[in-house]
Amino acid sequence: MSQRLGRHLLTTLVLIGALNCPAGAQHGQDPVPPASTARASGANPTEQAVTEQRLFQQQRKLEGRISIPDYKAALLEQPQGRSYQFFHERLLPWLMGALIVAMVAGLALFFVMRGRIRTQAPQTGIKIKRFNVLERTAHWMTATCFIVLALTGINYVFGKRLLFPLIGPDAFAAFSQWSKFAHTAVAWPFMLGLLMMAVLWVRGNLPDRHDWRWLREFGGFASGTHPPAGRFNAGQKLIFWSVIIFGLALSVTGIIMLFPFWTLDINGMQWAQYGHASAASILIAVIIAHIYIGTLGMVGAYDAIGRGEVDLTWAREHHSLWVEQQQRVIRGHDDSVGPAGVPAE
Amino acid sequence: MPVILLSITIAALLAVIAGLGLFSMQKPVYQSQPMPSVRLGDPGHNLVGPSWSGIHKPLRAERAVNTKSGQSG
Repeated sequence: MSQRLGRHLLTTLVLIGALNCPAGAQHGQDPVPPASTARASGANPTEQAVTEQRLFQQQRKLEGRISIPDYKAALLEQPQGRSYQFFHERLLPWLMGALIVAMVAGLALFFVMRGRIRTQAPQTGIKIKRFNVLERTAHWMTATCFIVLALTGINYVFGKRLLFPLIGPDAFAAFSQWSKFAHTAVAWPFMLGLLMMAVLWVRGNLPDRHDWRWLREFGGFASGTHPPAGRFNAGQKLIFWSVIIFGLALSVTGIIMLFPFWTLDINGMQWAQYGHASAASILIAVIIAHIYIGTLGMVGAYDAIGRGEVDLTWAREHHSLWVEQQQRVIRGHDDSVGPAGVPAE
Repeated sequence: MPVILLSITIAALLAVIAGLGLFSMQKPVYQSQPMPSVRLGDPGHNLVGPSWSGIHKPLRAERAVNTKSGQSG
């Protein structure tokens, strides 16, 4: 009886083992090839096959020969490609995300602590012209383009991580395709607007002796009184030069990517993307601060670029030297100001 | 507000012009990289013809063969 039971148990165990063999093979390492696949000498032919690591020890690139005219396709892999992949897939989302979140959080904290910045003296009702139509057109054209470029650019980095799970593959593919068209088309009026702003405002944004005091007093927050400033204060100059420098970097690297391999090889294209993405991350954060101070942060700031004129009190408190200059112009003592320097009334 | 609307209109107009310009500069791959040995996507002379929609439609003879095999099976 016990022998019969033992035989049954043994049979059951063998059956279970036989049934589990394929499943075990799915999770384990590749089995050693049977003797029939090895050579007569007993050597394993796949053991002699060259590995990726061994190839990279001999040369830095994996290249081959191809039959199509696009010679670039012959390059299969190189170390710079892995560095680029690390940047694009790991470092860039963190860099861009951290900059944007840190800026928004910083501004929110600043708003909670300081609230809206208002003029200390009451409004006079007298308006002074701050920006003419050409200046405002250049600003709003560049601003419109930048918002489109930033949103479509952010989709390159975060779209597949954030938007794709929400709207699904078909909608995401269509949106990304049109985003790409918009990004490459809107880049041109952006560059034109950048050039216009540089020409119109470079003179007023040259550094002067009052800038250091403005920065030291943090625009008056540290001292409690508004430091003197010309047409543009040091904070506005920082915004202006950030837009010009990073906008120029975005334009150059963007044109390089719009016409791929026209001037640069694959390494140059990757460096163009490093520069483009880094400059875009910084400029998006800077422009978030600019939008905040121009709308929610400071009462009266929007009127300057929205309607083109500001209250005299606002102008005296934030740009006292500029107001004095305007008054000298009215009296006919100074003709060194631009076309915008004409009081509204 | 009128200046903002004007700026948006100008930006959109310039973007459309730039987009059309970029589109006109692009060439299909069979024009930009022609070669005698390999066909690269010429829609007029490729293997599936110019009006291929991407959806396979069986020919009448294929349908007949499929129907017959379906009946016999």
